[in-house]
Parts: sequence; C-alpha cells; structure tokens
Amino acid sequence: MADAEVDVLILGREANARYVSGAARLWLAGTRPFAPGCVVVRASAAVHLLSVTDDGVPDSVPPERLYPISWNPVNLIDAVAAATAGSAVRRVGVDGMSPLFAQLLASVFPNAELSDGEALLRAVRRVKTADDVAGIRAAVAVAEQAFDAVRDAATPGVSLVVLQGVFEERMAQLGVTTPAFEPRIDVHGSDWSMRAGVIRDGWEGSLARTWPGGGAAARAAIAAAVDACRPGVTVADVESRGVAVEGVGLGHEEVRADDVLGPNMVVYLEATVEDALHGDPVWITEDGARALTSRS
Amino acid sequence: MSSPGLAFDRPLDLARMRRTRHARLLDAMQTQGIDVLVLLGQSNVGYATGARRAATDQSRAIHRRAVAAITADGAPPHLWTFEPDGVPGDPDLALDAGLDLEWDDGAEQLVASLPPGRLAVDDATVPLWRALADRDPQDASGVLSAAKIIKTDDELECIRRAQAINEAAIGDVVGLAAPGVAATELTGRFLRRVAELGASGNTVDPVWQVMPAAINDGPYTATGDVVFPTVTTDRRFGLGDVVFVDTGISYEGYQSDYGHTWVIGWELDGHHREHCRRWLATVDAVLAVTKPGATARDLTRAAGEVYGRRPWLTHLYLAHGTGTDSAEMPFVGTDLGDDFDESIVLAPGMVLVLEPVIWEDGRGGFRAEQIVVVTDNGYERLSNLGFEAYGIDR
Repeated sequence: MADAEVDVLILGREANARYVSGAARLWLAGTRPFAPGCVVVRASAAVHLLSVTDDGVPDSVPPERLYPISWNPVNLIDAVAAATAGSAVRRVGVDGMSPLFAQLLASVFPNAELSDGEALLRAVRRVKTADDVAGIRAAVAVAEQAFDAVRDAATPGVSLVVLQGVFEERMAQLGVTTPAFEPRIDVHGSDWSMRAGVIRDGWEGSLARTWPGGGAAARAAIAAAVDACRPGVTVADVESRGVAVEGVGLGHEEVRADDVLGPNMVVYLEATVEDALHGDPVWITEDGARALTSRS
Repeated sequence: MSSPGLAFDRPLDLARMRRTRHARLLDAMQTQGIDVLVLLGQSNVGYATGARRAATDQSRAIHRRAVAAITADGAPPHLWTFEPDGVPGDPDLALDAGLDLEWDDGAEQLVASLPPGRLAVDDATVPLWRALADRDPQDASGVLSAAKIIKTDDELECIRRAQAINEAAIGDVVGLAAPGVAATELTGRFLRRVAELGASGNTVDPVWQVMPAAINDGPYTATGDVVFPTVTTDRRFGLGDVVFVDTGISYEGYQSDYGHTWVIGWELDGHHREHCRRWLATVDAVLAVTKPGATARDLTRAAGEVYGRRPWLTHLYLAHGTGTDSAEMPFVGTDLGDDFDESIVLAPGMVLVLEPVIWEDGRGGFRAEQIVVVTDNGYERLSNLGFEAYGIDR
C-alpha cells in the first residue's frame, strides 16, 4: 500500500479479504457484486471486516474492528468512514466497483482518487510464504485422496454425476466442504479422465488425472514442463511446451503470458494429449520447480 | 449409463423461459430509460442469456466470468463466455469468446463493442470501471429487480425442482445426524446426493450450526442478536444439540433454500416442541395476510413478537425473495426499516422465503424456511417441510 500510495483498501472479493484478514466466512458459489467486505487502513495498519461474529476470525482482527452486515449500503459506507476516521485519504484502492458504491464512496472521500486494488493484491499474493505453500500442499493432499475414491468407484456403467458426488463426499469426509469448481469427469474408451480441486482453509488444491492407461504422454508433458520451470522463465515459455498455465493460491489467481516466474510463485500446469489429461500445481523454487503433490 | 436423477411431473419450457426473461428486461429498460444493459454478475448473466454457470469458487467465477449485454432495440442478447458448453442452443444469442475484464485490454474491447446510449451496469472490475468513465454508467439494480421480482410459471417450476432435489437429499442426510458424527460428514452425504439427484450445483457451504442455549453462551455478536450462520467445521455432534440447518443448491440457475432445526438424538422436551409450534404459528400468521396488495410491513406486523422480540434475526430478515440469486427482492423486515417495508407491495408471481427465528434466550430456539409464491388470491407453497419429529402432522 505504501509503494502504491494507497491510503485505504476496500475489498469485496473473498480471497482478497481472506488474504489480509485470515478470516473464514461462509462460502458461496459464484460472483457477488462489489461491496465493502473488508477495509485496510494504511495509517493504522488495521484490518476491519464485515462480520457479525468473531467465529472464524483470527485474533489479529479484534471484535471492535468487525462491522455487521446491513441491507442499507449507507451503513456499509459509514463503517468504511469510521474505519478511516482521522487519517487523510487521498487514494482509495478497490477490487471492484458499482455505480451505487462509486457514488457513496465519492460522498465519503470527495477528493480521493481510485486505484486498482485488485492489481495490488494480485502482486502481493503472487509470491507465497512457506505457510502458504504448506496450505496449498495440504489442499492437494485432500484432492489426491478424493481422486482415489473416484478411481475406486469408476466401474463400467457408473454415471459421471455419481463420480462427481463421490469426489465431493470424500472431500467432505476429509474435513473440506468446498470444491474449487465442479469436478469434470470424462470417459474415453476404457480411460477415465478427471479435473477436480478443493478449497481447504482458503487454499486451492487442484489436479487432473487420467487412468488406468493412456495418461503417460500427458504426464510426461507435465514432467518436462516442470523441468523447464525456473525463475526468469516466462509463462509464455512454459505454454510453448503445449501446457496450460494458471496461477494458484487462494483459489484461482491470474497470470499472463508475459509474466516472469519467480521464486515462491505457484502455478497449475495442465497438459491434454489425445483426450488424456494431466495437471499438477507446481511450486517455483530458487533454482527450479517441483510439483506440490505427495506422489508423482 | 444410468441416470439417477429425480423425475418431475410438471412441464418446463426453458426456451420460453429465456424469451420471457429477455422481454421483461427490455420492458424494464424502456421504463427506466436504459439503452444498454451490461451484466457481469453471473446470476444476472444467466438470467439474461440462459448461459449455465458451473458452481465454482468465487475466485474462478470472477476471473473466468461470462459477460452479457442487452440492448433496448430488442437485438439478441450478446454473450461473451469462456464456457461455450454451457450456452443454450437457441439461435437468438450473439456469441463471442470470453473477455478477461481484469485487464485494460479486455475491458476496452468490451466497451468498444457496446452501442451508444444510456448505459447501466451491475458490477465492474476496476479496468472496466475506467473504460466506462465516459459513459456515465447507471446502476443496473433497478432494471434487474423490476424484471426478476415476478416469476413466470417456468421459473417457479425451476425453483420447485431445485427445492425438491434439496429436500430429497436432506431426506438422505437427516438419519446421519447422530451423536459423535462430524458435521462435515453430513456435508459429504449432502453433496453426493444433490449431484446424483440432478442439481446443477451446490451454491452455499451447507450449514449445520449447533446453537447455544443463550446468546451469551455463543460466539461474540456484533449485533447483540443470535449469531447465524457460522462456517461448518469437523466438530462432532453431541446428544441433545440443537442444530440450525441451512442449505441451497441450483437447478437451471434457480436456487433452493432449505432450513430446518434438528435435535441430535431427537429426545425432545417441551421447549423444543413449543419453539416449533410458535414457528409454525408465526408462519401461519404471516401467510394469513400474504396476498396481492399486502405490503411487506403487513407481513412483519402479522409476525408480531414472540418471547418479547421480533421473530427473526436483526441482521437478516423475516423473508426474502429467491430466484437466480438465493436472496433477492423482495426483502421483508431488513434494517432498511418499516417505511421501506411499507413500500414493498406483494403481487402475483413474487416468491417469498419465510425464515422466522424463534428465540427464547436461555432455552435456545427454532428456525426453518418456508417458500411460497404469491398467487392471484393468496399463496402456494413451493417447499414441503416435515414436522413429524416434533409430534406435529401437517
């Protein structure tokens, strides 16, 4: 925030709010319109959070910095104003906007300029700490076990939605109740392929696998791409090997073709070779890269 | 391959539903003087185009979102999507590849393709907001709520089916709720059953919240009222726990909403039964005045007070609408206040999810949800809750 000269950050996106607050709030699928769900004030370094309770909220956000849900947007803007009381606000970072909140923000910060808070959070979130990487690894471990349950259940004639249900049931039995997306399962001849992932404590663990045979070429393509990943290589360089590249962290994270890989970034690589899929989350280290799976 | 989904008796015409929704949006745009409607919210895009959206985590839903533009000239809806598989087969849809609005180039490409005129948008990324600066964007919520608040028969059938799937799945979960079982086990069974029964997706992390007897025994509350909902953990149930259940799934973009109260072990005492009876009496009192012309204030007045308080949570509502969003207009009993409620007039086709909460502080409470649609002379129930466990046969 100091580098970008942002005085207050107003965040509507759940992953951004979770990144700065550590709070676990109720998971809802899909998009929500922009609203101030979390406020970070540079001068006080304080995080304020939309929540009626401290259940799921870490001690670093004490109860006096919680503001309750309201159906009156004016109350939410008043909470933002109260959080920033006494500090000069010249620049406001937001991760979304709507005509309604643009008007309300202008009434509270008439002279402030808006800046792209999503771009700021994207840059900050991109480089993972050791704890972040451990969080992704733990999510991947749950996904691996849920994949095992699907392999066991995938017998000729079984419906694909049943297998989707098997994945989600096993995930929940392992203590994780939120998928990253709807599991995608296909059958080609005698081979099954599946792309699925979980969100565990906010962190995404996603995989793609093909079994019982047929996946060797896709697996080899990912192994070669992992070997090619190292600091200084661009996303486009990796993609030129025929694999798709996404950012991974608190859910899906954006990377673009000209982004340069650096130490402690995590990307998801996926190869499709003749209907066979293979995909792994990959941690970029100081001098190379390794898959965040517990088995290869 | 066998298809294990639930079967339905009543007719559903999805193409007719999409045509009618488009016509309603055009009517609302004309009334409100909007020439171009740009939609980023995925439930709104689905409403305007019929594009099916997978139930994904918000991060992916944001970054791979479909975008729709509707123009007042009645031209086919324009849809930009990364998931052409989810697009209905109707010929009257202008289809383009997905745009990444997280970046200036995608946002500028979208704005360059929009016709001139007064523009409304429901939500924006910062790059899109910058690209729209010269267009003086209006808030789309007025157009959207005017179109969406009255449901067609096809929309009502989607809600009925979503609810039937949700209730059937719950029927297979309730027996699992026993002492020593983790709440996440219930979630697992629920997620598997809704997939098998034909849901398009699960849309809220299922809530199985063990309630305290008194507000002060529970987690910190910023409102002074009962804290609900909290996030499900692998905590194990104990005998006699009072559990508020809240789940929701989607069917063709329409949301279900199942709420009920379970007592672990089902060894009920007089308080459990009395709380349930008072919840039913509150719903009956509200439904007795539910008809066209009644205001939301009439409903809150009918709900009255129970155990010395308004029988719903102060940070939520007595009732909310449901459709392509799980909570949408009309809202009844929010903190917008009595005057706002007075301005909401019920009309045929409006859907209400009644969710009174009976709370006797020190002895816990009861919460469930009853979905109804307002009809020409009253209401019709869209959800079917059972109360046999409380000794009540309805």
